[in-house]
Amino acid sequence: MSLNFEQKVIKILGQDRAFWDPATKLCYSLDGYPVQKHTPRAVAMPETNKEVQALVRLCLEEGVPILPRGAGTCLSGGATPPKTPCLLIEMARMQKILSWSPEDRTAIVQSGMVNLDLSVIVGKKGLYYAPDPSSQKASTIGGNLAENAGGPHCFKYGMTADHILGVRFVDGRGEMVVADLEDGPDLVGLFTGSEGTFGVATEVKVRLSKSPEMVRTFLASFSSMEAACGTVSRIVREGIVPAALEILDHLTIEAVEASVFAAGYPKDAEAVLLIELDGPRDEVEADSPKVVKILKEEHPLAVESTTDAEQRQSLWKGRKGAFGAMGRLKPNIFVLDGVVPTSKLASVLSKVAEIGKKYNIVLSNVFHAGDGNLHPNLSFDGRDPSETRRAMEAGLEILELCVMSGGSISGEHGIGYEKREAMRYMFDEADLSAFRELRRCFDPRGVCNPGKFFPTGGGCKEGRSAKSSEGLDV
Amino acid sequence: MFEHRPQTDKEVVELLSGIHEQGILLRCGGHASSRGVSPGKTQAILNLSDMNKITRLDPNDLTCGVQAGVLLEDLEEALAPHGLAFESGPFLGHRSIGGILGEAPPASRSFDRGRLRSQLIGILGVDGRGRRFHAGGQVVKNVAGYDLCKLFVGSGGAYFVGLEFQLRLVALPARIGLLQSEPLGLDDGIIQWRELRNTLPTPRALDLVLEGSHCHIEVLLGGSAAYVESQIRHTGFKVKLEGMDAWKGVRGREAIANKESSPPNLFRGHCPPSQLSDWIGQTPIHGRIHYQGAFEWDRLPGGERPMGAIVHPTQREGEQVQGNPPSDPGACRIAMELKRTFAGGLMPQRLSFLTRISRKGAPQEIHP
Repeated sequence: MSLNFEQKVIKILGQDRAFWDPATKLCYSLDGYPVQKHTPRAVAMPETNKEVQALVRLCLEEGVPILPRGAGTCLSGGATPPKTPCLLIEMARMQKILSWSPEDRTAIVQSGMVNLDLSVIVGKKGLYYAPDPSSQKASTIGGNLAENAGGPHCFKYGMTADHILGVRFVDGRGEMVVADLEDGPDLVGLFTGSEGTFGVATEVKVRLSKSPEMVRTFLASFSSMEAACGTVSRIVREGIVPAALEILDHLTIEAVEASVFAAGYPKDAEAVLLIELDGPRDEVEADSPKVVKILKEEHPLAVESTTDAEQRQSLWKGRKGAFGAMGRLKPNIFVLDGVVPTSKLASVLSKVAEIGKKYNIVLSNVFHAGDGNLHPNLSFDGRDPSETRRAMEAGLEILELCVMSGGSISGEHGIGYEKREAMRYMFDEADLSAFRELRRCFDPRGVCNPGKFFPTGGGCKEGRSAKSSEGLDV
Repeated sequence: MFEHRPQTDKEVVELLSGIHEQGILLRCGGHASSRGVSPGKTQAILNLSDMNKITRLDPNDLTCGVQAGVLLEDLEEALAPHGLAFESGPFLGHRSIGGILGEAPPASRSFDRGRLRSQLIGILGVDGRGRRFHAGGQVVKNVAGYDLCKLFVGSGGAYFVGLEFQLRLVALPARIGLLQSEPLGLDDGIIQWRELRNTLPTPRALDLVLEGSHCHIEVLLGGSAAYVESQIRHTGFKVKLEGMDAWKGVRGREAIANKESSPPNLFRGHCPPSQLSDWIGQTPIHGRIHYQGAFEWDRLPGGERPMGAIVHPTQREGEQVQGNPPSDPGACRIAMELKRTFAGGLMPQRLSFLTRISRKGAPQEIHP
């Protein structure tokens, strides 16, 4: 008797790790991008590399799209199922640390391991895993790898790509591939940030960092956003490399201070700037007076600083809780992550505010100022189609503004569904064609996470096929 | 063999569109230490040394744009008035940026975020069929599009030609010092080097310099005066060079190779630092081991290679370079697809093992 697709999944995983009941499928129908929602055909929870490979091969045989998923915290729709019902491969049961070497400062982990869990484990040897997206309590190393995740501290320590040394993945042919940074062409760098369109990562070799000897956090409040941005530019230009440079605008401060994340930020401030210096004690102590001098010259409303771990956490509390606090403004939030040169931060933010007004959308900003990575937050009510449409249009206009200013449409969230049309702001048809050919080298049949990344309209072959069926990206 | 010296990207496109069936050798400055530019069986040379403009320098955002033929010393001269520098290296000043990025030789400062792959933030490329494309951008943080910059760095031009590069820059530290230990026995040297890896908070370079039966340690420090002073005390080493001389001073085997009329054998690779001492034993090697375990040696130890150690046969006397093959069959297969997709007639000797593999077919044959 021939088995149907679902029975074949059961044959690979057993009854208890394969799901297609409506309730489970609904849970997996979207990620942190609130606009697009599709239910998968089935949800599979493999525990071994071989099971992942068997699932991919099954999907290839059956022509079913594949969506690898970590914790589903992606903000661009990268972990939202494609329109054509897919097999969603949930990596949560592959979360072990397989080996690690304190001396070599490396670890090999399964891709479903939660980011912060790794730092907790290696912390006993004075090490940590540096990439720290805001979602790090939940998001997985595999998900971070797929999106090339950033975070507040990547200004100094770099993106996820700077901390990945190797990847084991099942590619779009169903073959197991081991890519190592020291061994051959940089397939590791290509795979990182490929948003699940090259295959399913099962193991990741990461670089661990030494915990800094000293950390000093400053909180400065300003009467204008220009002054806060000007301070950031001067710090960067002085050659000081803080671990983090984060700015919250007035609306964000109001939302934070009215929420459970209240951190005592001055409500009359137009912007607060968090500056974190870390490293060897001598270095932090030498840089601190320089930061204080720059701050004084920019006339802040108030400045406080501390090296005490608890007090530092308290200063960070509002920043870390900012996105949660946005729930007070509107039921839904659409978080952009365009990038601009740091020297243009203030002027671009002023134009971003104008775009918010033009579309009559509540718009707040909390962002990684050191590397010019904006986070304009468009708050809207998803039950109101007109407001949702205006939020989307405003978002696209802001991304176009970022590109026109010499920047990028995405600094850390990836393209996914959210920015696929905005890809044309940065890349012409020849660029996109090169990307498509590159993808075929990993996934010739276009089964891995189809319908994302590439724009759908205007002469793009993949786009036309995706628009008509949104099946496989062939 | 005809040498083409284009001056614009349009000329490169026309050239590669027209002759993509031939073997095209890519040359930026011709100083590669891995013989990545040796003529071999190629029929034409594409020399990019006339494309040597610094197209953009933005000191406030710590980025710049350069054409492939720009020499490192010219870039350094342009950056110096702004107190900026190229983080990876050191490399010889008369090498071109295109050549450095294409070859990505190991170097003392090239580890962690100092690796060359982290400095390249955007690229204008033309593949072996004359197709022009961009990837990346001009800002230091950017995840839009696939990262073709990573495919270029270290590829030796095996896939496509990089014509213009957007680079991340760093501010030069307030004080820079190159420290050197006294001569040490091999065992003592390895123990001290491993200890310093664990205790020095943020060295800019930490090399174990092997000189046969002896060795010494070199440390490059950069930061505030107070920090550098404290680390000098910590190591107990003497200051050998300071300032820009120190920044440029820790040169690897590349410097030796370029000075000598007959370059020595050169084995490059990587070994987990925890396993180096067992592997080296008492082998009288000349060369360097960099901070993260990358090495450049004149010979390989005879004993069993440790788990995780990788050797690239980048240069041996009398042998033609074959490129840098991955050892995993799956990775090799993808490298082969990439070569087929992008390379056309470009750099046929680079990764030429892949062609042989495709004829033989079986995955086991992929291992060179």
